[in-house]
Amino acid sequence: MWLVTVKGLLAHKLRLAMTALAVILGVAFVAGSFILTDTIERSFQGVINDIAGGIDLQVRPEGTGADFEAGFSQERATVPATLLDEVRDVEGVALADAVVSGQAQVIDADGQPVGGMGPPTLGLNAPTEEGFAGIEVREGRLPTSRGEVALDAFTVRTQGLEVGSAITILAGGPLEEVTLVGSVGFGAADNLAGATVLLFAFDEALERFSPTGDYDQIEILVEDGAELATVADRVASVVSDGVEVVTSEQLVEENTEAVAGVLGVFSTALLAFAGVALFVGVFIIVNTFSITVAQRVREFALLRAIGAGRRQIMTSVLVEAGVLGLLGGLVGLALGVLLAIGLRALLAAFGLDLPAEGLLVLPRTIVVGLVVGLVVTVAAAIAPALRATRIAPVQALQSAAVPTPARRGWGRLVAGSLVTLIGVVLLVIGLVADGGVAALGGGAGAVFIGVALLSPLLARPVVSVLGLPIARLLGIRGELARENAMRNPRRTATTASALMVGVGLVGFVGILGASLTASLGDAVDEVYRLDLDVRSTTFQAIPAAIGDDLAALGETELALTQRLGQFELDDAQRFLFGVDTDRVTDIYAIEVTEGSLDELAAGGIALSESAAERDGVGLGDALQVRFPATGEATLDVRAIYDGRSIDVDYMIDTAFYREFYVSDEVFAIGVLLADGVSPEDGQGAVDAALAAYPGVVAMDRTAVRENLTAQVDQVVGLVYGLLGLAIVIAFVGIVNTLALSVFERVRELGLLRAVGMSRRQVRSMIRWESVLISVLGVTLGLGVGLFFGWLLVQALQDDFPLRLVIPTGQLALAVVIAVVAGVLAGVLPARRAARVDVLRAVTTD
Amino acid sequence: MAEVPTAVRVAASATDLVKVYGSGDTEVRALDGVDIRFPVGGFTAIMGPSGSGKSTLLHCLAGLDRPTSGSVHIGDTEITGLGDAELTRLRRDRIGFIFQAFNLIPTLTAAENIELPLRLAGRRAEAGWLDRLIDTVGLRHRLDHRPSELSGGQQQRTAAARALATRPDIVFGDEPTGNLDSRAGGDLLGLLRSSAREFGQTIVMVTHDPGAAAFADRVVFLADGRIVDEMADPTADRVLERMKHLELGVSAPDAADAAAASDPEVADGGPADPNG
Repeated sequence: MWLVTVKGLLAHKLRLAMTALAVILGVAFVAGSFILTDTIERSFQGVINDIAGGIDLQVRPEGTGADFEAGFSQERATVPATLLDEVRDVEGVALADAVVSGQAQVIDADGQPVGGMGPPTLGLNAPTEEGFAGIEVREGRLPTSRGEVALDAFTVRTQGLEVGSAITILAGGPLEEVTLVGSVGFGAADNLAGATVLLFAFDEALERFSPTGDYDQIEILVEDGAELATVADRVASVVSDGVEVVTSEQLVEENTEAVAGVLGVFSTALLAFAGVALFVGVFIIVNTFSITVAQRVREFALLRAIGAGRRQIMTSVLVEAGVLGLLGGLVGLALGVLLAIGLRALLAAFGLDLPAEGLLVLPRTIVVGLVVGLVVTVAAAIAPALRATRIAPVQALQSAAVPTPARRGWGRLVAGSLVTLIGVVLLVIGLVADGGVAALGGGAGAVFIGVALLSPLLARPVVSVLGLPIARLLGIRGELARENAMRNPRRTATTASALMVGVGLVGFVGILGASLTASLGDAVDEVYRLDLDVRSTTFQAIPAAIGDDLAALGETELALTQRLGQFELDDAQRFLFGVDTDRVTDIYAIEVTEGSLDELAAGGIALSESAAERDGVGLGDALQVRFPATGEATLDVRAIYDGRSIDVDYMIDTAFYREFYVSDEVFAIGVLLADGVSPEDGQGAVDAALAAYPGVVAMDRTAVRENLTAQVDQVVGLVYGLLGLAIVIAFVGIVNTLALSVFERVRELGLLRAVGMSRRQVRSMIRWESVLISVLGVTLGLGVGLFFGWLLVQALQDDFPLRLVIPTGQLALAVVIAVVAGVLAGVLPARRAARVDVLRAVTTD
Repeated sequence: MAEVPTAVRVAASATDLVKVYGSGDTEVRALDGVDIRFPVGGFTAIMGPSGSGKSTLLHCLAGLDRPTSGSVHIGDTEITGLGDAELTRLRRDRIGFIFQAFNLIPTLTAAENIELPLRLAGRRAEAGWLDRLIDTVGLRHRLDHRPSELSGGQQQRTAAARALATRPDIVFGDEPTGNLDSRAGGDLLGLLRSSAREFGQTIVMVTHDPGAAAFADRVVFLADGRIVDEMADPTADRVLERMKHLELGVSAPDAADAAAASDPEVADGGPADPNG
């Protein structure tokens, strides 16, 4: 039996390779995801360790652990400046340094901020001693006086800057020229996990980034030989309320956890796409094994006739699958490494510089890759293997080509409908009852499986209709292509189903993207009353002075500054919108449902409906809040508004905002043009005023809408790209199925050639069969995708009303691409078919 | 009615035809200098023992295989130098085929199978010709059926109708009755004979069944790649007698075994053939 299996494998190298490809690509995706995230995690870990390794203790405001949530405001809780000297006096403290940080950007040769929309751009004080907090000088020295800066070595390198030369920076005010005195690294890394870092002399950093003169943290090195815990206790005894002391070990732990959390999301997302690719692969493997079992009926029957047991037949097929799965897993792992390298290069292009160490391939990656390859392949082969065991020995003696009569398939209809229904129920539970990602994924998977089960019933009528124009146009080759695509509906349908999965998801994402874009556009049209929206392209705070500059222009009637600050409510961090409440409705259409925004000028706070519900407060209630710099405050609820119109949950008047926050940072300015000023003139005047502030732009409503659309499109494009692999696998499946079908129809092709079908006509016939399978897959996929899109839009109706938009252009393009890809997938099988040796085909064996 | 063939008109001919398989020690001369002409309207049977080269001759005549040397003419056309596209067109327009098995495309109905060569050429049949043909082969009531729903005899008659549909210069049959019972076989052969007589259709058929050969006007005997004899107006008994003689004459046992072991066409009419 083993001999038969091994020889069987060797005899069909091409089939083996094509089937393995489905496994290989899936495993590569899984392995690549693991390798990349493991490698990134190790790099972050290195940075975390290097930085934490440079200090022993940190004094910081309570509850300000590793927090990756970026706000517009840099205002946060601080450590009183007076504490530094006290800490320095504690016995056992060798060195204590304050840390103050804020936003600071380097301006590149084109006058644009380095970093763009990507990673953060930080400004920090230089440590008093090199090596402290992991900061190491690579070239030059640390800044010691005003007008000097050091920059992370990555930015120095990529921007082609020279130590000793002048550079332009932007840090909370207008452009400035400063001298670059050094380049620094952070342990082994050249930058902080992608962030651009500018170091200033301490006094300058304090002036720039700390409006109160207090510190973010105090970092401590203890004396050699001193007991860390003892020193920590001593430091803790001198610090005030609301400030805590943590060890570097704790810091490492916290940061590691935070990084793992963020990377976990990233890794899960990548693995989800890998899962889709594998899911598609399963269809291909099932189909290939089904076809080959069907083609080997005589072989199996002969084996049965000479005494092989059912179990041996089953084992033979499963072992073949197992070998294939393991081989696919191995090659997939290797390909996964390449994929990870590619993805890393992509990340590097976006500015996330990872230390140039080797990729990290953990034993877990290898085990998971191989197991996934093995399990997926063997599981997919079980049904075909069972079918192989049902072959009767007598079939060895019968002629092979007995066409199986078309069954009515009531069982299939019931099973398929049931699975589809279960999928839909799971989806609804996931969407409406917050059943979570598992319910959604399971539901989508079940719908795909259900439709795949039903698809053989659909294949014949659908192909019959789709094939009609082809048969009309191309005559006999088209007719034969159509007949061939219909002759084995299960085979055609399974092949098309693989494509359906990929296309279904693409269609869904396309619909979601189009609906989102349209709805966001609608919202802009409905809510935005302003003429120009001024903000940073990098989601950073902009100087409040810009508001004054714009208000002073003759072309503007109003330049309304908007502030956004973090505060604490019921132990949760929330964002507070600070705006001139008398005028806010001039720039945004806000629907107030209770109370009035006018009253906010006298104090108090307004809440969105959803926030009021969440916090359990109503009009007239008092809200206990805590501001980072100014501490506790009580605010009366004076108004409740519809938060779907404007995406902020808490709003107060600018006058009070300034009381609660010490820094005066603005995140956006809404501009109304004066009467009689044309949009062009207005834009021109505002642009001129903004020239001094790189990275700050003024967008009219159209631009705002386009900007939102572009952001959605970017995400949609990324998802398309990641789904692309699943679609490629599906087309490999079409190639595979057709190649096997051609092999099966050698005699028929030979006969066609003998009675006068030209090679061209043969090729055309096979290509159009390929196109028909492809179009069937796309049709089913778009059907499922439309349904998913519709379902999601309905489910979101309460929280986030979306207008269902079907991107007909994109979907039509998908069909065109399917036809082209179908033609391409048919090229190789068509060539093989055209090369069929007429003589061998027609002579009786 | 019947066109009367003149002696000078030749539907197909082969001149000094040689076909060699392999080289050196394993060289097999399947055809060793064959000269033959097929007059228009004639029904010729080619016979010979296993490995005599009769199928090779048919394949070379029909443009399915290329001879090592020598020439083949279909009508006035020398086909030995033609490329694949020209040969395909030749087969489509000027040659008809009936094979032993697998003669029909399973996805097409009987009618569609019959029209297949015409449709491949993008032509329509002459008015009335297809109708007449369908009535002649007796398939009028089975036209909409697929091959799997037809009996073996009906399938071969469909194949015959397809071969005749384009009014080819010549129809080649490769053991056309090999898979049929004697009654269905007789029907088919009668059909071929009457198409030769009534329509003037030239037919060449390879067979090893003396009874089948008896339907032909003429039997050509092949042995070791050469034409060794010819018989006009054959009867089954005379053919059988001649064949016995031929087989005894040539089969020294080890020579036959060697040929069987190395002949790539061993499957065709070889020792494994149930009728052989």
